[in-house]
Amino acid sequence: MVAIIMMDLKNITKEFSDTLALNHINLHFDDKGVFTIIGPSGAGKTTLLKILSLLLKPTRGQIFVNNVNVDDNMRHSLRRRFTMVFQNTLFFNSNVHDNISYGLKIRNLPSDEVKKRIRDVLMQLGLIELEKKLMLELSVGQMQRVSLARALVLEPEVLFLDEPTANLDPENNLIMEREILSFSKSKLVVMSTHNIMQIHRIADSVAFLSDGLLIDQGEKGILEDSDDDRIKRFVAGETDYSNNNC
Amino acid sequence: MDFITEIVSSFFEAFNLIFSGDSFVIDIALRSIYISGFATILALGFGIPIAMFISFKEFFGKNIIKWIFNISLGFPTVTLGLMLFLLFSRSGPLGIFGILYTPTGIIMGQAILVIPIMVSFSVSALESVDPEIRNLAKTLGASDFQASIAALIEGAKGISLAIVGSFNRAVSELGIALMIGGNIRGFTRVLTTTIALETRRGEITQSIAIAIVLLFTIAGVNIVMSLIKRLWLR
Repeated sequence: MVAIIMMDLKNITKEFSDTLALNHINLHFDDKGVFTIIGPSGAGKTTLLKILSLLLKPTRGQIFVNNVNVDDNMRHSLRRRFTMVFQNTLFFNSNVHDNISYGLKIRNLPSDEVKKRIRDVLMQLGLIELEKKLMLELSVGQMQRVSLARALVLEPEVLFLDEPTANLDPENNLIMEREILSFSKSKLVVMSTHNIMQIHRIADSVAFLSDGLLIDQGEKGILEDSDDDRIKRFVAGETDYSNNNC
Repeated sequence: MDFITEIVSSFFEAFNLIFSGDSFVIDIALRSIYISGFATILALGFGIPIAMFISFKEFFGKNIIKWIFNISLGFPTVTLGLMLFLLFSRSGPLGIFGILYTPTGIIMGQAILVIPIMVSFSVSALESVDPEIRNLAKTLGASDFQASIAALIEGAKGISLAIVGSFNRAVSELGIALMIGGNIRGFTRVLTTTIALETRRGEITQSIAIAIVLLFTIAGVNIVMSLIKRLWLR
């Protein structure tokens, strides 16, 4: 079963003890394609992804999945339909096989199904030779490919990616983008990135965040066409600006 | 000089006693391992859930609770023994259970003694695990409980240290074994109480033999845990 998943955020605000991480965010996500979230460091991109993937609860506001307001009872079952690849290469201190099989074992899938899915995803991402290797023995690029394999093996309906290609070499970058594009043909990918060129290569839509505020959203061309000073400066390469200077 | 000669010859006799399979020594050693092992398992059963709660939940007074467990690490065994003696004695509130001067009494006393070690070391181990590991497990479909278990497995090396530390403390304590167990021959007599008794009676060879067995027991448990870490926890 491939269910269509559309998501909406209504007035999402997230406060940490002394920080306003997100401020009244409203966004709509179509059922497929690559939706990118861009903005300077500390803009709230990771927090937004964690709220979308139901890892964090917003302080205020609502999340809708297929027009249904997500309540506490739905969070765990919905989370099983999403997966997320984290920004820093996060993994269980074990080998590649154990990392990829974790989510399948949690779901109590039959062992034949587990073996088949692992083999398929390892082939797909060119990791078959590394199956028994410890994660600590891998390069950063290989680790990130394992992270993507660990997500894809679960056949999620939505894939969240937090700067998945940061610090990757061109070869690993190409593999990751190829897989993201392939997945997005039928399902939704929400991805944060710093890389404007990458947005041009793979994104369908883009949202620009700065200091927890949604500055603009639309098709990828908005970045170049925007009149907003913050977006102009970001596109010009001043990635470390402060909103106070605007 | 005579004193040194006597000590050296006692060592030789002690080793002879150990390697000849003396039933008295073996009986006491096995009883010590059984009592302190059981106390460690009991402390593990209570300590790990407490450590998980402290490590993974945010609540008011968390640092105070951690501080209480930390200062309890140095709790004098004689003081704890006295408190438990008053609880377990016939006229005490738990006297009806009749566990004073029984192995069960020592097990309970030692478990209470080592729970702070289990909790403090485990909290330290769990807090050193990347907090995002629980989020990783959740994004792969784990429930809150399954995500906590994933973090527990990641901290297993530190927790194995907590287990070793707890067993070492339990097997080498004297106050509780003496006051709650009563050092009854063939029933509650363990390695530490035997060393105290034999030394008081002037049986230095016997004391040294038992002391060596105690050290071997501690070393043995450490070796076994190191092997487990090497084979399973890499």
